[in-house]
Amino acid sequence: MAKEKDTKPMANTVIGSTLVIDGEITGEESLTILGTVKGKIAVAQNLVVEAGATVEADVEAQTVTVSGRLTGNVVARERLELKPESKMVGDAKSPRIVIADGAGFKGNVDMDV
Amino acid sequence: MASDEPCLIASKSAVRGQISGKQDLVVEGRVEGRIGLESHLTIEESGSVEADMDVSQVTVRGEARGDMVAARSAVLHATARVAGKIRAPEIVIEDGAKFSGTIEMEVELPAGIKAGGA
Amino acid sequence: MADKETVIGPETRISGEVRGEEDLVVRGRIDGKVQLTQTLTVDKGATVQADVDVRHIVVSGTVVGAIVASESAKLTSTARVVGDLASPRVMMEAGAAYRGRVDMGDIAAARAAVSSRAVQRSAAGEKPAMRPAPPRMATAAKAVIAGKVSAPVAPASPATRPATAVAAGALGPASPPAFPRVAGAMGAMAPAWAKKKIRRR
Repeated sequence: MAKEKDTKPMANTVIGSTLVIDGEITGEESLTILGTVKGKIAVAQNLVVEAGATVEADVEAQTVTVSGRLTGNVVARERLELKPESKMVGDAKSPRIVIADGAGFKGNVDMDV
Repeated sequence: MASDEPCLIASKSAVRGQISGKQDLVVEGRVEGRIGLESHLTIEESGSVEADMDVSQVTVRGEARGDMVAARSAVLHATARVAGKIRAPEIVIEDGAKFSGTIEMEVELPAGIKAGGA
Repeated sequence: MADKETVIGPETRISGEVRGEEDLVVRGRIDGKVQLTQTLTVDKGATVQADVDVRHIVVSGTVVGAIVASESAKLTSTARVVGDLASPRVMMEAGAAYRGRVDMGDIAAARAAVSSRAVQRSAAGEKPAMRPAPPRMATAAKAVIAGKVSAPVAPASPATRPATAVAAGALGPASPPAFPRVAGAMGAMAPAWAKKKIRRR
C-alpha cells in the first residue's frame, strides 16, 4: 500500500455508469466519472468525465479531462482538456486549456494571464 | 467445562420454572421460565426455550424466545429461530438463522462518527 | 473503461445521495443515503453514515444508519454497525460489533419506514441524522473474548446419557404437548412469528 505521490491518473474513485450522485464529492485522490454527478466536486488530483457521463456540478481539481457532458464552473489548477465529442457549459479557469476539434463549449475562459 | 457430562432436557421433556447451575445445559425438549448458568447453554434443533437466559455461552440450533445475555458469546446456527434481545460481547449469526429483535453490543466507532445522531 | 466497478477511494468522501444499478465498493466515506439494486460493500476502514437500501450489503467497515438489504446482509469480523437492519438473510461473523434491531421478516415495511424518514428529512432540508440508538452497554462488555466458541456440547446419541436427563419427571407428566401454543407459533416460520410480542418477565 505504498502511496505514490504523483499526479498521474490513478482513478482511485470510480463512479460507474448507472450511478447517480446527488451531493458533494471531495477527495485527495483521482476521480473518474462514468455516471451522473450533481452538486459539487472538489478533488486534489485528476478528474475524468468519461464519454456518457453527466456532471452538473462546480468542479475543482488538479486536471480536468472531459469526454462526456459537464455543466458548471470548472477550476483546474493545472490543466483542462475538452476532448472531441465533449460538451461543456460553464466558466473555465485553468492555466492550460485544450479544447479539441469537435468539442462543444459555452462559457468564459480564464487562463489567469 | 464445569462438568464432564452436560445436563440434558430431553426431547420429550419440558421444564417450567427456573434452571440455574454451573453445569452445561443441553435442551432438546422445552424450557419455560428462567435459565441462569455459569456455563454453556445449547438449544438443539428439537429444543425450544421461552425464557430469560443469563449464561456464559449460548449455542442455538432450535428455538429461543426471550432476553438472552451471554457473558462470552452467543452463536445462532443455521437452524436457529430466535426472537428477543441478545446481549453478548461476541455474537455469531450463521446464514439461514432467523432472528428478530435487538442486539446489544459495544460498538466502537471511528472518531467523528456518532451513533446517537443529530 | 466501460465496465469499471464503482469504487469510492479511501481518500474520497461523498455527502449526499448515491443511487445506482450496480455494485458499489466504499473504501472512503459516504454521508447521506445509498440506494442500489446491487451490492454495497463497505471495506475495512470505510465509513458509511447513511440510510442504506440495497440488494446485498457486506460490511467490514463502519455503517451508522438504517439498513434495508432485500436479499442479504453480512457483517464480517471487522464490521462496526449501529442501526436497524432489515433483511431476510443476516449473517454475522465472530468479532463483528452491532447494535440495533434486526428484522428478518417484513422487509417492505422496513423499507417504507426508511424511505418515509428520508423524505421527511430532505423536505426539512436538514443534514442526515441518525436515529437515537439504544444506550451503550456497560464498558465491561468490552472485554475481548479469547478464541472461538467451543463446539456445542452435543452428546452423540440419546443412549449415552440417559442418566443426565433430569427434570422431566420432576414436573410430572409434562411433555411438549403441554405447551402446544408456542410450539405451533414458533414452528411456523411465516414472518408473523417474529412479530409476536416477546414475553418479558
